[in-house]
Amino acid sequence: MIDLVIAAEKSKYSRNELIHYFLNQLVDTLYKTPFIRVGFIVYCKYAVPLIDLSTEYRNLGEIYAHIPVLRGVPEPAKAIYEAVEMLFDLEDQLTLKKKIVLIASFIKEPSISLEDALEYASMNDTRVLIIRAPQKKTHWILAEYEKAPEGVHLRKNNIPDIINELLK
Amino acid sequence: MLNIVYVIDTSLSMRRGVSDLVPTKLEAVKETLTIVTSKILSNNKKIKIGGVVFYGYAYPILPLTNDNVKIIKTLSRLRILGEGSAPGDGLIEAVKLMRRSSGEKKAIIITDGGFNKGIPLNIAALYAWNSRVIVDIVAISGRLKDVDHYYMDKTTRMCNGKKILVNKKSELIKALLELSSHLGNP
Repeated sequence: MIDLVIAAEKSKYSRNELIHYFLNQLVDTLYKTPFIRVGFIVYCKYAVPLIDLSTEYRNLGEIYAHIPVLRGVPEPAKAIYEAVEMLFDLEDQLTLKKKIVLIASFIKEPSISLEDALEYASMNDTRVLIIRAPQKKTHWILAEYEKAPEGVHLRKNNIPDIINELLK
Repeated sequence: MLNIVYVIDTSLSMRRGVSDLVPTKLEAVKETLTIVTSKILSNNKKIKIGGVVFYGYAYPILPLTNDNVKIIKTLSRLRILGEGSAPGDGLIEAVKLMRRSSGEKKAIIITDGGFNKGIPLNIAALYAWNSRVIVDIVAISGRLKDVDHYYMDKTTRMCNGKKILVNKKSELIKALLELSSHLGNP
């Protein structure tokens, strides 16, 4: 079983409609893939768990659309910590792989170190795939992210590639 | 099995008394919860009780248990924790506390309002709803604002629960006994 937590930003800095579209495409594919449990977190200055890891995540896109745009500076590290906690709390003998998909704008520099959060996830045997979906050009970017081969910029035409990468 | 988590407001405003909820609202809540939890546990062994506190932040204070001694000890230690009121954070902590539990799940928020911090209650309610947690609210009247009612009503409607307004100790006992003994609205 792959345990996958999707952490999606919903702020005035992120491309929320594109993220919504991506989430719907992702859920359609995941539903055809056996042995996957999905959890869902939406974040901005705080991270809100919305669906705990389960095989019932069909309405994930609708939930994202339903949430209002959240205020404040996005703190992706909080979403990572929340996701790691969820993966840890609900881990069982069925868990084979743990993954987090972080969808972020990276427009504003957060106050909590994303680098430390990524390191924490790694220490918990959790792979993090970073997807950028900014409204405009990114002013701040994690130095490590530039080197990360897994980081991708979300566009409508590369969504199938991102999903394939995610399911590897 | 029925799991109940009490989400208790420990913000500064709970330091004041109102009506016969004295010497402070929090002390009256502690006294009432001690009576109510003892009563429901003596009537039904298939109940587990947990606790979360909130002010500007929120955290768990009691993991799910049916050990009444532990519950009473935890309640006796409750104190005013600080400024701000973040019931949404409290509700999320309550749902997390019940993450691995099977059976029916319920969170009962006890508050005097003034919500001004953290995750909006109606967004936290989405998580409770997705996790099939019924959410009831016991609201101590006196300083509740329209916006507090808006969030509380949205939350209880979404999560199949009830909002009960109280102003006296007898009403508080009645409300908590009623909500702790039954599941949500059909």
